[in-house]
Amino acid sequence: MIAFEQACFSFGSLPVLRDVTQTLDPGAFHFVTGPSGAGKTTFLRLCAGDLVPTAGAVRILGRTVAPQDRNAVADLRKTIGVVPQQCQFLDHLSVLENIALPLHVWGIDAADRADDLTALLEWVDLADRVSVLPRALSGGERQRAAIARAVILSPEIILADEPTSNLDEGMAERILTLFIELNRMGKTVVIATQDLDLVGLAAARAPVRTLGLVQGRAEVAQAVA
Amino acid sequence: MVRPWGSAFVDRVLPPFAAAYLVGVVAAVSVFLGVLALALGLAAGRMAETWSGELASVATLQVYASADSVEPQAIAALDVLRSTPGVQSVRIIEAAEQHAMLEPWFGSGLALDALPLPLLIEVEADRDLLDKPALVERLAGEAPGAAFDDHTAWRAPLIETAERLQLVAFTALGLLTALLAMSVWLAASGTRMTHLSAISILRQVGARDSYIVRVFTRKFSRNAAIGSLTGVVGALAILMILTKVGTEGYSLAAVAPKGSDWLALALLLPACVALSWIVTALAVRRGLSAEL
Repeated sequence: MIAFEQACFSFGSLPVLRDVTQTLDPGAFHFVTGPSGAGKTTFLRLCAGDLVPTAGAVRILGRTVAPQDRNAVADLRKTIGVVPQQCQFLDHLSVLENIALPLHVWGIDAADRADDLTALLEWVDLADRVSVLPRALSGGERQRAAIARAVILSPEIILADEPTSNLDEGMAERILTLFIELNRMGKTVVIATQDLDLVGLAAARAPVRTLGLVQGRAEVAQAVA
Repeated sequence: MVRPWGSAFVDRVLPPFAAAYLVGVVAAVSVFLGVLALALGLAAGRMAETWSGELASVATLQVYASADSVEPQAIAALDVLRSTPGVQSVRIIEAAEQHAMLEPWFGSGLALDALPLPLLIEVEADRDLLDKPALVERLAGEAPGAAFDDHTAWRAPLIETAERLQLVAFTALGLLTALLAMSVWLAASGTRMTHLSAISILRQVGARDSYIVRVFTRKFSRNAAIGSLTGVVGALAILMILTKVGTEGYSLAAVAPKGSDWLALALLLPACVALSWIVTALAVRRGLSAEL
């Protein structure tokens, strides 16, 4: 599904990832772990097609994204949903408008998806918050709104960068539950985190794979049943 | 369930921003001045055409002679004119008509009969067929008191003035177009820069360049359309008032648009909207290309 073939990435002369060779299998639940600065976000951005490797290759759904091909990256967003570390919204639009924004961008009439939208809002427990502006949401609500926006097009792959950082334990577990449910629906989930407790919590409930990044190298790859 | 958007949702993707309103104001001023400049240019062109075309076929023969020899000289001159190839018609301008022509300069109280006025003969001729040097030579022989005037002396500087006026008007129109284009470019580029985070969010959900460009072009062209409409209506109203108001004989009626002029002036509106759309699209696309 997403294959790293001796992929390297550097910001100028600063190497971030070195010779990473990994395959993210379809339908699996992956954790990318490592300390701060290990290259987790860069790894996810390579998975999303936002960055292209400076050496080696990253194949996304069987093809490589050419550098500077913004429209090709845009097309990937239909199959790869992204939950960034900093959940940003268009602050002058309502929560509902923000969550449904991908439908408009892709030219899909929201009326045709009204039932799905209602179900999605109930699933992330934001049905009663649709009319408020994003700045009125709590941290946990913002994360759930970002997840809803990332999955509204029903992508095959969901990438999430530190989705539970700055959240209390209860909210973190609630967010994790959403990702586990998505994985049970057959979605490939890739979560970058430095919170090993979260990995343990997930491993207790579902089969997960972890990819440990140490100083830019994928040194540990293991499956946890 | 709250409907997430209406048909014009794309207009709300970006929050309201001052630059879009400024484009409307600049479009209004540019189109207002543009309509006036174009009207002036078209009128100047018409005047130059009239002076070099219609008036060029009319000439005047002035017969200066003592009272007892005016008539024989006039008869001789008329004979010469009627036998000259290219002369289409000749007409003696009566004293009353002559007095009416002079009245604006001398007033009605002056005894014009006391002035030594020449006898005037209006000549209509085909310029291409008329051999002016030959005619002047024949007149000198047969009616020595007759002076042929084809108005070249006063028409030439007037035509040149009208043509230069037209050039100035069209140059002003070109400069206004360039000013509008530059203003829209700066406004679109600046707005894109101040909305980078919004563009980043749009990218995150799969927006292609064409979608992002549309978000900007719709907003800018709509405001340009409102501004242009205001400018066109204002300028046409001013033109109509200016060309109708004025003391007798001194109005700006010559500048009034005629026939297809109205269409040309009205076309400035869609031209302004199209220019705003194209410049916005180019500015935003250029900015997006520089993102990676």
